[in-house]
Amino acid sequence: MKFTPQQLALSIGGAVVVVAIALWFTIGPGRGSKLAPERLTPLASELEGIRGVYLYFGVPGSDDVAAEYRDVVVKDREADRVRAIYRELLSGSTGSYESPFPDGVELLNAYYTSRGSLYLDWNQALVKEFQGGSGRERQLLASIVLTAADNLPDVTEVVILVEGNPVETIGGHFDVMTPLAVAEWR
Amino acid sequence: MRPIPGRALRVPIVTRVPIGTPGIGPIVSLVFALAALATLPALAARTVPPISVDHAEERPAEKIMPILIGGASYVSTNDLARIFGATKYWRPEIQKLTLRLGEHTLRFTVDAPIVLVDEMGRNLIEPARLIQGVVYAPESIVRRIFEWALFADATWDDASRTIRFRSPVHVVRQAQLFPRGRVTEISATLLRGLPPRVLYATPSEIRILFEGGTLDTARSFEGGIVTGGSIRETAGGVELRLRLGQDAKGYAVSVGSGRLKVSVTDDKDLVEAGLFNQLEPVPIGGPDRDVRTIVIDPGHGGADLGATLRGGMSEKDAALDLARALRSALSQRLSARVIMTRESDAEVSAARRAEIANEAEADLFISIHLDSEGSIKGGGFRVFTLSPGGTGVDSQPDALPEDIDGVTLRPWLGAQASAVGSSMALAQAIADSLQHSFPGTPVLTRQGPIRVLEPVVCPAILLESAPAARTGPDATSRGYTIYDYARTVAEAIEKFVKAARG
Repeated sequence: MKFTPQQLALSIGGAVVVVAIALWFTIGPGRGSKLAPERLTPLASELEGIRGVYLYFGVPGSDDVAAEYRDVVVKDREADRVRAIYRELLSGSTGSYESPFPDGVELLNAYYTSRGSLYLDWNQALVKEFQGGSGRERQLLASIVLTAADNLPDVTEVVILVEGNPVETIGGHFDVMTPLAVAEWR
Repeated sequence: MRPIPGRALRVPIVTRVPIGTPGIGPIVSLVFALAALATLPALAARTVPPISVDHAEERPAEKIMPILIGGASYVSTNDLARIFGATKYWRPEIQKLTLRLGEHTLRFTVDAPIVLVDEMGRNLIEPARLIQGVVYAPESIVRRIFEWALFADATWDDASRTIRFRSPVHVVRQAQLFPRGRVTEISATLLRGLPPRVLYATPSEIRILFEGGTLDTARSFEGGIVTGGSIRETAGGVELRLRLGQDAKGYAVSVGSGRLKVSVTDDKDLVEAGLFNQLEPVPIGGPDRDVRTIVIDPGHGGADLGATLRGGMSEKDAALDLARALRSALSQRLSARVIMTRESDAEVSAARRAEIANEAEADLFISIHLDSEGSIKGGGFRVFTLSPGGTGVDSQPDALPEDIDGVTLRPWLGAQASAVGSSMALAQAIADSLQHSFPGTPVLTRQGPIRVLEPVVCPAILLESAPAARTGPDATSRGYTIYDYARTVAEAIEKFVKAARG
C-alpha cells in the first residue's frame, strides 16, 4: 500500500515530536541539581578524590564576596588539598564574579598548625602586582579567608606569607602581619 | 458558505491513515513505542518526591531529586557528596566509588548490592548504578547514613523526607523591645553570662558589645525613647546599637539570671538616684576635654602609589590633595594644631605614621584614602575603624609595667583598644554628617584590621572616598568637590569635639 507525502510527513512529524518530548524529560531542565556535577572524573588512584568546594570571588560593584560551588580534584595529603583548592580559586570565577587576585599569583606552599592556623605562602605577585583600593584588598583577603573557612573546618585563622616571609600589607590598608581571624571576615 | 453537516464524519481523517498497513506502519509504531519507552522512566522519575535539605542558617534550603531505576528510588552520589561535604574517589578500572565523610568512608561498587561502611559490608538490597557517568545509590542510603551515625551535624526526618542540619545553639536569643513608661527596655534570653562592653553611651546613641556571644536572629528596634536600633552578630560578639531620642538621660545594663537587659530612660531622677548611668558625650582630648592636636594622615606616598583612580591619578596624590583641604577646613573651625604625617610625595611606613600621632600626643587621628572601585565606584564614602573584638585590639592587653621613668607602656598592636569605642562614635558622627550633606550617596561604616590604626592611642579612623573634582562638580563624585567633602568632615569633627566639651 502506498502513502501520500502528507501521511508520511504526519507520521515522521509525530514521531519527532514524541522523541523531542522524551529527550526533554530525559536531559532537559529540572534534571538533578544545578550544582551537581554531571560526570565523574576518572582519577589516577585512591590517593586522589573529588571534593565539592566553595570558592569566594568578588561581587562586581560591591566590596563583598560570594561563593561559587566547584568540584576540585584533591589529593589525600592536607597540604596538597589546600593547594588544589587555592589553585582552583586562582583560576577565577566561572560565573559573573570577579577574581580579586592580580595576575601571576601562585600559592607556593600551605601548612596547618595544631592551633588551627593555616599558613599560606604566596609568590611575590600577590603584593607586587596588586592594584586597587581598600575595597579590592578587602575582597582579596575575604576571598582567601572565607575559602579556607568553608572548606577546611578546623581553620580558625589564616597567616599570609610571601615567599616565606610575613608582610605588613597587600595593598596598603589592611594589616596582614597578624593572623586573619576567620570570625572577623565572616 | 453553507456548512455541510456530517461530511467530516463520512470521511474521517483517521480512516485515511493507513496505520495498520504493512511496511511503514510498523516502523512508525515502533518509533512511537520506543519514544514512549524513553519517556516513561523520565516521567516516572518525576513522580519520586524530592528530598529536602534544610541547611539551618548556613545556606538556603534546597531539594535533591531522586530518580527511579528499575522501580527503585536512587540518589546521585554527586548530590550526597555535596550535601554532606564528602570527598569522592572514583576508580574507573574497578568501577568503585568511595565517599569520605570526615572519618568515615562509604565504598560503592557499581552493580553490587553492597556498600562497605568503614570497610564493613552492609546490604543495600538494590545495587549501585552507573548512569551517564554518575554513580547512583539506592535512596535508602540517605536514611542509613544517619542510622549508622556517619554524620552528626544533621538529622533525617523520614516523614517529611528532610535532611535537617542542626542550628547552632545561640547565646543570645529572642531580643525584644519593651516600652515601659519612661523606661525603654531591650531584653533577650541569655544562655550563659556574657561580659558587656559599652563602646560608647552618648545622649544620642548607645553601642554595647556582648563579647564572645552569638545571636539567633538580627533584629531592628523602634519604640519608646529608642528612635532606631539593631542587634546583630559581629566578629567580636553580639552588638546592640540604639539611637536615642533627644530626651534620653541614662542607661543601665544587666547580664544575669538567664536574661540580658539594656534599659534607657528619659527620667533624670532615676539617673540622680543612681539607678541608671548618665549618658555622656564621648570623652576625647585631655582631662579638660580640649582637643589640642589632630593628625591627618594622607595614605600611601613615594613608591607606594595606592590605587589607580579614574583618570589615571594615583591614590597617593589625591590623598595629599584631600588632606591639605581637610587641614585647611579644620584650621578654620578649631584652634587645635593640625599635623600631617607627610607633606610631600614621601614614603612613610604605617608604623611611623602611628608614631607621629603618638609622639604628638594627638587627640584625633584621621587617615585619608581614596578608591574608585567596588561599593563606591559611582561615588561614595567608607569610614573605617578597628573592630572592637578584632585582631590587634585586645580589650584586656597583657599586663605591662605601668610606669617606667614616667612613661606609660602600652602594647603596640593593642594601643587602639582603649579608644576603639570613641573611634566608632567619631566614625558614626562623620558618616551621619556625610549622609546628611550628600543624600543618596553610599556611606558605609566598616570595621577591620586597618594596619595604620592599630598602634594609634587616640580615637582613630580611616576615611575613604571616591575621587572628587577640585573645582567644580563632576559626574563621578555625584556633584561634590574635595572642598565640599573636607568641609563636611571638618564640620562633623567640630560638632563632635564641641559635644565632648559639653
